[in-house]
Amino acid sequence: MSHKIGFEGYKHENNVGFFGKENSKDGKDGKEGKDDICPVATQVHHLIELY
Amino acid sequence: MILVLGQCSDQVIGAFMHHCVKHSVDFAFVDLNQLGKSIDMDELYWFFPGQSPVSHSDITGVYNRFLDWPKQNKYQMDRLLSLFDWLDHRYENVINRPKDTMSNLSKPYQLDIASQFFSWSIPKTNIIMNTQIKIKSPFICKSISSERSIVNQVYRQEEKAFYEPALLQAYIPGLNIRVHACDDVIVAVGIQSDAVDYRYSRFENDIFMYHLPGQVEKDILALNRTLGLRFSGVDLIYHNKKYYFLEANPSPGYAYFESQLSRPYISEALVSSLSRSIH
Repeated sequence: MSHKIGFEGYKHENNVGFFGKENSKDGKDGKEGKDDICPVATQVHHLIELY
Repeated sequence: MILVLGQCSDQVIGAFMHHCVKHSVDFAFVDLNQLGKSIDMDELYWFFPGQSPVSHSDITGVYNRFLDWPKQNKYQMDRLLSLFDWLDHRYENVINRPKDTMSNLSKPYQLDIASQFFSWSIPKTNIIMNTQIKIKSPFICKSISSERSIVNQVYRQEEKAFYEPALLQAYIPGLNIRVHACDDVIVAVGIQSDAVDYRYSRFENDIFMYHLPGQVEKDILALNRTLGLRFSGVDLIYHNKKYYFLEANPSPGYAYFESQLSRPYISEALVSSLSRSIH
């Protein structure tokens, strides 16, 4: 008999199925991404060119 | 027995456990939200509700998908820190150790490492913050860190304001390629999509197995070794007979790609790596 400890609890928490709650398609974290960059107030102006 | 660490909201964990159940692979899932509550550990054992204690010595490997800090009190924080100690220093077989996932906090660092390999190029990259610029050619805008952002295409806008540090990369049209590398196993897929960021396409993406040149595969394995990663999801673009490196994800959401393939190649590689002792 194989052990699958915690699997029933996981299924109970996700009763919509493995991919039913996805917003994004890679399933990395199930979160919506941000549409844009969040503004942070500061006066520093900075541009670094790497390549 | 494989120890699986993560949270119930993580569908990748679910897909991995589903694979284990299907193939009679022993595992124990630690819901990190329950660590220090219904699940606990000490120097010898894991304790799960309604189960016999699981000895640390019975764990052949740990699949670590710690993505977010759960809400915790002081005791639970102590348990998490103890778990990190086990993952970074005491378990022999961990994919991936927390300390090795830190490169994901800085995409510029990753790009710097990746630029040392010659089988791909790095798109022209700028970091910009707290300024307004005019963009005259197509650029991609995304988060500079591990913070998830939808990759936007910024093209010929009159003025664009940036506040938080952002990564601007020259837009490279071409075929998106996702490469999952687990130890010495490489599974590459091509992704045809209607969207710049295929994770958010309006229509189903077309995903298919992709054969990489041998040197690109070697460089991906070497990149993983340099970053300390045993499992990664590397994003490439193929354009005009050249490969471009975008980023390496240390906690890749591989399940979506695998669900489109004829075999669970990546789950099989993970189980193989986590089921064997490393000495």
